[in-house]
Amino acid sequence: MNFYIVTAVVFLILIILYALLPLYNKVSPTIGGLPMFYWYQTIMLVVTSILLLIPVLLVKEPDENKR
Amino acid sequence: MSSIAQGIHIDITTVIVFIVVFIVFAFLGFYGSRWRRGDLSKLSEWALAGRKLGWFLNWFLMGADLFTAYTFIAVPSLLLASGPVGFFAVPYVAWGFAVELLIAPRLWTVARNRGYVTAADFVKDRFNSRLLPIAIALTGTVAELPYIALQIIGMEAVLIPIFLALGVSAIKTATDLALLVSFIILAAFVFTSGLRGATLTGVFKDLLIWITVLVVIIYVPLAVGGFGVALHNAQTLSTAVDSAINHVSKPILYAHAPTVEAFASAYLSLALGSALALFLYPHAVNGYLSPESKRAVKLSAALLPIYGIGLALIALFAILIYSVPNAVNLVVATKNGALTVPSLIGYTLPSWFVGLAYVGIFIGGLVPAAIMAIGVANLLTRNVIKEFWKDMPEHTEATLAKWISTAFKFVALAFVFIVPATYAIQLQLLGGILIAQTLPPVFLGLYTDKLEPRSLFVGWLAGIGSGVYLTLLANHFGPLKTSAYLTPIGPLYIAVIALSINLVISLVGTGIAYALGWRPAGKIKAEEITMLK
Repeated sequence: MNFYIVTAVVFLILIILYALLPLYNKVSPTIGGLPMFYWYQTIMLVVTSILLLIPVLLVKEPDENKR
Repeated sequence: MSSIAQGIHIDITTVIVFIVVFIVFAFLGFYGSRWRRGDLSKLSEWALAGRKLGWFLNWFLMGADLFTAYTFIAVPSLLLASGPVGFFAVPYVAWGFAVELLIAPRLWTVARNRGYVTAADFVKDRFNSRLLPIAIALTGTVAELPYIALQIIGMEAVLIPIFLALGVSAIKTATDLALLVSFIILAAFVFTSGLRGATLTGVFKDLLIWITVLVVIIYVPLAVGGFGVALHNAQTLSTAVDSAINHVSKPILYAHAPTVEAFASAYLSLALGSALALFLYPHAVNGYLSPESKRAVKLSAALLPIYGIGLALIALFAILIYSVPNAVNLVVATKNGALTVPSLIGYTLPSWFVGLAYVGIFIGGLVPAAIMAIGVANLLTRNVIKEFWKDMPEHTEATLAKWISTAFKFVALAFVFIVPATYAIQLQLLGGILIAQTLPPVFLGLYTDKLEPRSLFVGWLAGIGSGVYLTLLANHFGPLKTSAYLTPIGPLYIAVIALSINLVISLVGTGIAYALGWRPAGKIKAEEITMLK
């Protein structure tokens, strides 16, 4: 599988996760008093890294480790 | 003690910590030239640290680009003044690194295969064009100016409370003098150590910033109450903030964003436009061309959103500040939203820690300014001056770049005077509008050579023209306060509008050229972009 195609799919998923404003543009549930609008987007950063690691770790290219 | 900064935890200890840490920083900057020694009279050694950075160091270097005055000063300032729209920086970061992963490994590979140092180098061969790389180099140069200016506003934002608390009467003179001295030190070590010095100091500054962020985000909620208290206080206290900064006497709603389409279009287009623009900046290109292997490029990009958590937490300081009414009062009294983070830190943490945090923020403006100036110097030397001075010797190229980077830092100082400090983020957004117009030849160019160079040039021209014009129009030809333009589908970040115009012209022009018999004449083979020789 092509690294860039998998990455493009991941990018599309990320666009959807943040574009769903009605899903997370809410006050409650809160975490430590922080409204969902803020914590959802912050936690999504962790999700972003995990999703971006999928193409990086699973789709190897033969020249990756060449220096 | 000045009455404005009454009770802020700044004393002689703060100043001593600030100065001592700054001396350590300067030492590291100069030491950079000895670190992993290379021949610094070569441009790739000076500007790309010899392309020897592993993924972890590169992660720090790219993170240093992220943890700048944009993050500590501009974003919290916008969130304080305008509410939830300021949080667009979070999806911007998330999307930005996905964009990096799509383009950086390709540009890195072709740059290594063919010895490129800038994106314009690549465009020149890809489209066999002389005009396009010059256009790209000049855009990169101009777009970095407001971004560097933003760093200077960030540095001022920690100097102002210090001088206020120490009762210095001539604040403006004292601030200017402190900035000038810092810039001279910075210019000297950038000249001697190039990107190596910036990387070493970048690691140092990021450690300071991470410590500060974590201490504040844990300590403040425990000591004075968390976000619940802050949001409750904001209902009454935010009216004073609104009237001091926006001249509107209404409370600012922070708890959630307005549920209207106008918010969504502005929010998402700001995030998308910024994400597309980020990795076109010359300093960012330098950053992702410097790793030792393609694997390092990819790993670093995938892990950078973790760095973005720091950005999100710092942005939230703009809400947390309401749990400390004295800190809010300082922002109101100075009518300066840029003081949000320095004020919250100054009123909550012990004076020695304030010194540590402030010097972190101060260096946090200084290091990115250096990285940006290196990026610009690279571009101007290789892609503009060298175009007209073909047989420039390699050591002259490096020397010229060093002098340009020095001069450029001082030119950027001038930019600070045209934007209200609270809206410092508009400087970065203006840079984004300009640099986004180089997307078609650079990013699309990494995937196809079937774009006609003259169409790309006309598209670029139309993108820059419409971007600048709409920015002037949206601000009523006055001071820069907004980067969004009201369209029939709602307000949109002007970078996105101008880029759309640019893309349409580039594609339609290419279609017409094809019909008239034009065929791609690039010098780069597809496998040179995908596979390291």
